[in-house]
Amino acid sequence: MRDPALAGGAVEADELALAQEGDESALDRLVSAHYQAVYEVGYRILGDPEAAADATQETFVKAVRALGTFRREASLRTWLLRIAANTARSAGRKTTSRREVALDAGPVQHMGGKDPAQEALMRTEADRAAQALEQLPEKQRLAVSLRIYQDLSHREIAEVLGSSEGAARVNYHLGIKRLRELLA
Amino acid sequence: MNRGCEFYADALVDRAAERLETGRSAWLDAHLSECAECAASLRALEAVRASPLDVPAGLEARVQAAVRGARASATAPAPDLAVRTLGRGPWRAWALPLAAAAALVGIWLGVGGPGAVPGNGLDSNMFAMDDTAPYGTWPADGLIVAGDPMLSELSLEELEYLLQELES
Repeated sequence: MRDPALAGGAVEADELALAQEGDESALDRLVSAHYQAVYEVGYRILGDPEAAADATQETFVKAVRALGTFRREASLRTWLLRIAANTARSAGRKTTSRREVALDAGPVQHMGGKDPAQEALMRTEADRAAQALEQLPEKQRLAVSLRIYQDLSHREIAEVLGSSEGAARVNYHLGIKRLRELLA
Repeated sequence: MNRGCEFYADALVDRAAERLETGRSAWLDAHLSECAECAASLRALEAVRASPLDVPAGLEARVQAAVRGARASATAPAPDLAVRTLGRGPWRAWALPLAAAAALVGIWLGVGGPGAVPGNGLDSNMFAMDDTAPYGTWPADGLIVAGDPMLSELSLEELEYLLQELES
């Protein structure tokens, strides 16, 4: 999901400088590099594709308006994801409670298998995993999904969660432990 | 997970992502052959890894368009609010003094008035209203995160909640 072209710090700094100057192409590339991760955070908190898409858009609009104040004390990625988490939580408070998706696996991609039986088995396992992930408490769900899908370190996850690194690590391990139980 | 298993946690993630180097792979396999918990964790990680979210089609273009729109509105010249809202009658002469007085009352309530936080003179919760506040000013767990600096967009219930948080 991560754009390798923007993963390097020096490249990101150049892109950020251009974006801060209002370069539209740089802003487009900034969105392209990070919108999937931002959506991931929104979906993991809100549990609803439409609400997560709205939160993704709102996150980037807020971020672009505040881009001039970004001090590079953290990576642009974790800064964006932190805004995404706060935006999604705020959106969740304005509507109702998080949509229950435990019985409905939610939107997941399915792998194209060669053998129909094998594909069906893999799909069943993937659906079970998606359902199990949805059953975790929010912080565990975020810690696990950001670690597995977005390759964030525990330190970066802590910045997104607004917690200590130790707390992020604990949330991740508790989440994996719970997943083990649910998928046993 | 046993205490020693923590050393293998990152390797499990890398194995699930199919990017574990050969050297570490043998080291991990040796552990997996005798640790049922880590083997189960790996199965769980692989299953979760195989079910990524399906991002809605068109979201990227939609967000890019919204960002361009936000950028354009941010760079547009600001309207003369005093003229637009108060016209050019006698009210206009009072507009700036009234605004200044309102701002002073606001500052007193926020910094020196009831609910102020002793110390540096700044209420840390003031930053919590802005999702984009720089690091070091983010609220800790449990503190209010209103999510939007525009108070006008908050409902009465949210404003009451915000007020309670600021006064607590």
